[in-house]
Amino acid sequence: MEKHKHYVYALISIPGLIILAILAMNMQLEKNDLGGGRKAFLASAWQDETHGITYAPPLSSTRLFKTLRLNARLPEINTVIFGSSTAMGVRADMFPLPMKAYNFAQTGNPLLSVIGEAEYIQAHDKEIRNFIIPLDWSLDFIYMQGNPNPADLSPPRLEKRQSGPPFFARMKDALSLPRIKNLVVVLGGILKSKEKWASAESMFFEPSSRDYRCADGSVARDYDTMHRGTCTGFRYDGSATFANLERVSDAELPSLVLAATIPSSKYSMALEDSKGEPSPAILQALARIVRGAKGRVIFFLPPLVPGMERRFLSLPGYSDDLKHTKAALDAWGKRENVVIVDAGESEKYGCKAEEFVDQHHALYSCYEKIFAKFWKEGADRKGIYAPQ
Amino acid sequence: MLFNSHLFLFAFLPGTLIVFFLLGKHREMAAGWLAFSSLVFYGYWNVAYVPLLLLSICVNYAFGAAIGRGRKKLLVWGLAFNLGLLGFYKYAHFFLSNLDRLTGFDWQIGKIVLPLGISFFTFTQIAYLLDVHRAEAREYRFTHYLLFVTYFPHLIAGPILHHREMMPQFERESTYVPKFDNFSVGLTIFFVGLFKKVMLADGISGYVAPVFGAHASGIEPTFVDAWCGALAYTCQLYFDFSAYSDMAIGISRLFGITLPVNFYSPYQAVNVIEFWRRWHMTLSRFLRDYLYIPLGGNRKGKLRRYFNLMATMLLGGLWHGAGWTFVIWGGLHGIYLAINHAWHALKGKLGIPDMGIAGSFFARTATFLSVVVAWVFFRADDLGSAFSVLRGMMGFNGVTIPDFWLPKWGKFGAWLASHGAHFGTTATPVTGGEVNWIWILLALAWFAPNIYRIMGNFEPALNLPEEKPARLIWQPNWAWVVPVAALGFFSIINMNKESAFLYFQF
Repeated sequence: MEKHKHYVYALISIPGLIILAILAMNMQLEKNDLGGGRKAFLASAWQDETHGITYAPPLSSTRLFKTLRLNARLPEINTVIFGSSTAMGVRADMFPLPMKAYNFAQTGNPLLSVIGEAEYIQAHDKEIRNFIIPLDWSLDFIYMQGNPNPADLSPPRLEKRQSGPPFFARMKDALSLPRIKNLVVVLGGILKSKEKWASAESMFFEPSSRDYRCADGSVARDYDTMHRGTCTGFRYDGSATFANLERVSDAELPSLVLAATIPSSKYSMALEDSKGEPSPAILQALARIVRGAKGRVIFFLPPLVPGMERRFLSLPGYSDDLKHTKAALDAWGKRENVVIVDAGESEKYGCKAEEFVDQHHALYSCYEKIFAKFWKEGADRKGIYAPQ
Repeated sequence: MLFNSHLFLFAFLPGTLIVFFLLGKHREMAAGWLAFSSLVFYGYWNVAYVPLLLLSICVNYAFGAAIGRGRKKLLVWGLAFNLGLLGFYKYAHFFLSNLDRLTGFDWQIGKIVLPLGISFFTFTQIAYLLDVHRAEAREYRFTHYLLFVTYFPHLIAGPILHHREMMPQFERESTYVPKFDNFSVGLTIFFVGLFKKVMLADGISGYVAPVFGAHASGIEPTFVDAWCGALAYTCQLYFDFSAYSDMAIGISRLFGITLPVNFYSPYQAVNVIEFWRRWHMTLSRFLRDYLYIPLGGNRKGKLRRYFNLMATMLLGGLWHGAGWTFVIWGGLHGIYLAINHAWHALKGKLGIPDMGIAGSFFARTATFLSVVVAWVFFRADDLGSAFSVLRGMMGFNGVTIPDFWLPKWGKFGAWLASHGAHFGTTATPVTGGEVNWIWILLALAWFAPNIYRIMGNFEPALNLPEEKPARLIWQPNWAWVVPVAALGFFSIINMNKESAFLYFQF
């Protein structure tokens, strides 16, 4: 009987104590989250002051932070870079003076939303003269049916603190696997840190980390418990560091290209479903933006991992569709007197696999090569520009 | 309330258990408390059906008392009441829709929500009435009868209890005294069951619906899709039902009450007769004792035996649900059982010896595949979907290997493609993760010893088959507490989905 007694005590207390510890830590982390987007306001104010690297959690929802930053930067810029995460590698220093840019690209932001944002800025912010807009074919954005979504980019206001979910629901959430995975990352960060106590204190009891320096000398501060000390986030110009993501290696490049070009991949399906025909409604709306702009409007087809677009162009099922897209955009660009930088075959600009984090997310260094070449060779072109 | 919910695990179960043993000195009150808690457990799902459950219990108790006092003719009315209740709530729609189809009328009744566990508590009480009629049951205290029917570990999805097994345990004084050996055995079985449900059954469940729903969306699943869907469901149902049975037995053991075994490695069966001795064992026992044997069993000649088997299995199928898919599932098992009995008879007549390991392997594989084919009907929403999946499994919808396996398979994939294998888009993309889940779960179901063999030294359940004990024997020591605690911990942190058990729908 004694054996059973000890067994029962151990069986209840081992998971019980671990669960209690998890509950306590996760509920403290949740308390520290502040709620109502407060961290986005804190992060934006900090970036305004320091010009450093930061972001507000979660990294997958960037709209509030980016809108705060855009409004803060409006008095000093005249160029806005739009788009989704594919365009986040574009930096302000890729554009010659007098262009002063802010990268307003947000996660998962399709072209239909971009058009609404550009229209709002044209209507409300007269100092913004230049518009940099990506035309993603690979993510289906250029083919999407429907009308542009109107946007409101007025300065966001801090939401009133609302009473959260009931205690039992918060307990359940604190015990959920995603929260526990997050906690493991947090604890791992503390263990790796040189100043463990200070790190633990800031993680659990302060809304952000302390300021630290990145390899390029920039100052950074993390308002999330994820990716701490990695310089993950957005620079002062709105571009992303992608510091939390692994780079593509040469070894994995062939399988990545193959996976992208099989019939069931999202890239193939974008071509297959649309037959390469850009949405007329999107082109019309973009034409209105071009005509309404006081300065330059530059469109670009975002870079894809080296070899990917070339493979699409070699596949009988997709080659014609992709060529059709480009021919249609070329004709449209010439008609509207705008240039479309075609960076799809990124290898033509000298981009390497290691300058990507996946098939369609290029880093700063690749974009730098693309725009350097563009300003040198293609700045005066109309229609599609791509190096030979 | 679900066994795999935070509310049950952290509030209902400990609360009920503590009060039960605090009241233990007053047995009647403790039993009453357990019955009350069981009603709360049931009412948490839909309080509107608690009165129905209580009505069923009161009426059956009254019939039982009257029949026990000699008014034997009341049995017919008792059975009519139970079958009427079941018929109205479970089969009225099915009956009317088929009648409408046959006659061209348009008779309709309003929406009827199937009360949870109605098939289980009705069968439990039918057995009681029949046994009272046969003078095989005596009159019990109402509190104990109430607890016998409502007892929450079994109320919603079995095991189907027999009063002979339960009433003596409710009357036993020692039941109301907390015992650490019961807690250690009960908690261990419960954590194993919780792990099976949360990690294994729910882990594979996501792939089942797209394959079985493909036909309704105008898509025909191809060979790989169809097999993966059918095997995923085969695994999901196995681990889901096994999990529920384990959890019910484990929880009950915490209260000092041992339930009958209900699930005993059925995919390790070498024939369909054995399969039914291992799958939903208490239902098999009920059908045998209260349907097959009263119909004549095997006592009235071979032909009659096959008829009885078929009738029993068809009704067994219909018990699971009001639909032709369930009827066909039952019919298929009836045919399997008839073939199995005929083969045994032929084998005996011709003196064919057992074929050793190879024969056993062949028999187990054939049994498993037959069961998988029948599960397709069991799972499908309608006959069209079932036949669509079966056509896919036979390759009639084409044989396409999902193309995103091509880059993952590297040179092997390239070699296959160059030798004529067709890689392309499939309607319901099978990921490598799902295929891995399937083979891991099948390996567990085929080769791993079940918890009742592992815990065989501690009488984990009633009516356990006599089998060699497993090499792996559970003992209440550190070597066991760590892995069992880990199973419990990982299950709890994955419980955020709280999915219902598949057998709740029956």
